[in-house]
Amino acid sequence: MSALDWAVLLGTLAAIVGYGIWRARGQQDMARYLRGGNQDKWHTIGLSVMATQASAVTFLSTPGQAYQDGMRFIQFYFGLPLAMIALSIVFLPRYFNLRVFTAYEFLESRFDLKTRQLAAFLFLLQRGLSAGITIYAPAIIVSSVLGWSLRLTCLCIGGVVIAYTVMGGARAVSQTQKQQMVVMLGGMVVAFFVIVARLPPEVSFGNALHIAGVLGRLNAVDLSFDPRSRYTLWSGLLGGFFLAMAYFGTDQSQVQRYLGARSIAESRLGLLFNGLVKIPMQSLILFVGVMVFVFYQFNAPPIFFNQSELARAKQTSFAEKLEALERAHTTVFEYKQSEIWRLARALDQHEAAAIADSEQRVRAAEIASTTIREQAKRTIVEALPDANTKDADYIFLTFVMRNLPRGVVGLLLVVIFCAAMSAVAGELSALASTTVVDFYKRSWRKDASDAHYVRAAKWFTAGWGILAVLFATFASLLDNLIQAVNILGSLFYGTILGMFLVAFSRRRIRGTAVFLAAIAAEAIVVGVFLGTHVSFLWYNVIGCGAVFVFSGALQKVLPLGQRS
Amino acid sequence: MPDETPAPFLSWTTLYLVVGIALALEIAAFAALTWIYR
Repeated sequence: MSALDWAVLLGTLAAIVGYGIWRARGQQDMARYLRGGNQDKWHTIGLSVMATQASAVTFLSTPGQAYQDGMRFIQFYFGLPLAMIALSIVFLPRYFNLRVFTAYEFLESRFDLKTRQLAAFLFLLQRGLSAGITIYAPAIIVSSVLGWSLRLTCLCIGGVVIAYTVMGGARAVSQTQKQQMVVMLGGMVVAFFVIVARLPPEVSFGNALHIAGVLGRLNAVDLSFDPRSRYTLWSGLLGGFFLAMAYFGTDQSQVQRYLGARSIAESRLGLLFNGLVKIPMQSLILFVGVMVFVFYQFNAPPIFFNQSELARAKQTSFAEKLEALERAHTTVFEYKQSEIWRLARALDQHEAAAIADSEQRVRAAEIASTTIREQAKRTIVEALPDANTKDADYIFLTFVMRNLPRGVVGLLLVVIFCAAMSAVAGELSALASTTVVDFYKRSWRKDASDAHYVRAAKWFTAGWGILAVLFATFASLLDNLIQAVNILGSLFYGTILGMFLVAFSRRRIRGTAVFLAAIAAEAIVVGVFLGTHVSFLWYNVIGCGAVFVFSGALQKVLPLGQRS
Repeated sequence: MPDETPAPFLSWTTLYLVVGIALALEIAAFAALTWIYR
């Protein structure tokens, strides 16, 4: 990395963190530390909600996903704008009327303490573990591609986030997130134009799209009804709607962002802004991946993008086999490249027969190339049984480091670090507020001073941060646990959302019925996860529906004494 | 807490419709992209 890249990286990060701490300076009380003092306008809310959701993996993995699988991931976000409308109508008035600090406080006012603390506990379990992954996932990729120490990268990301989140609380988080989100969006726009400019000058943007389309990378909408297919229009609209309702409506890391608004109107505008901007933003990130894919139709890609893993495999007795596969991959690439040039010329001359002929050859070459890549992956696993063969996460950063100019490399590293820091900061602040408000203040120290609770919140923020960094630092030893944690979030959201929707819509149902229904619904979701191949987006619908049905039935059959 | 309108000339219903129509247009655009470059 050049000195200019380092200057861009360190200068931007220091400026953003410094600005956030400066804006959050002054006397802190509970309302200010945990809710930002209700000073935020809609644009801060909107950007900060987006920044909390956009982790570094969003910027590292999504382009790689488009590179390998095309645009269909965009359907995952189709339910989000509808969820923003539903939240604005149903959730926000209730939260703002009760002036709650956490979403789970509402559940006690509607049901009882045990239901509130069950939802809060599920949140702490899921977010507490995933905060570590939010640090670890980008750190492993960045450290591997740039040759940095993994532990030092985790410590740097975590240390800086802990410092400014502890010092400035929710206000520092939202102020830094606003700047971070602007940098992230700006960085991806720059990346898109720089990548398009790196395509051969003879290839127009229209032809680049045509090439991507022929090779199946512009498959944005899938109308099939197969529940095992992960992203379809229907799972995106319905499953995505329930997931976004659950995440933005009941996950304290998001609820805390919009509870900091000046008024309910600012909060609503912030959420609707998220609903308007989210799909274009994700499309941009996916399009960046598609353009990287087109770039690699004219420039030889590596057979496997995780270069350090490939190098490790080449140090074994499988080196010869891997090198032979690399030669075959290059041969197929050269053939495919010549056919793509032929296709581009046919497109320019509007020769329908030549276009159809070239398209067929290009597709056949792509299948051959993919087959060789799969063989290489299998060989890597034979050489290194513990190897991770999912190299999609490494595509974008490898491309950036090898092909983008000085300064732009630094800017895109800023994007990745900003994304990691903004997501972790939102999580730590929410974990601390839930621990203090829903457990410490509610059940352990009920009558302490405001200053005491602010001090407690600072300690809990630091505590959760240190746990997250420790988890991230030792995560490489716990590969199976990481997979479990990634799935964990989608297992709980439907149930938590069901508890809130019952609270809003079914007045006769009381705490014990919904508490038991939540436990039963959770058992069903875990059963579906373990026993079927149903796509995870449907878990939210199943969990939510199960809480609804069971709580209604239990309310009727419970002994009279437990019905109220 | 009083529930203000987003702006004197704009109701919440209008704003919700704007978000809904934007989504419908985005889905239509992506469907067109999929169909044109299939």
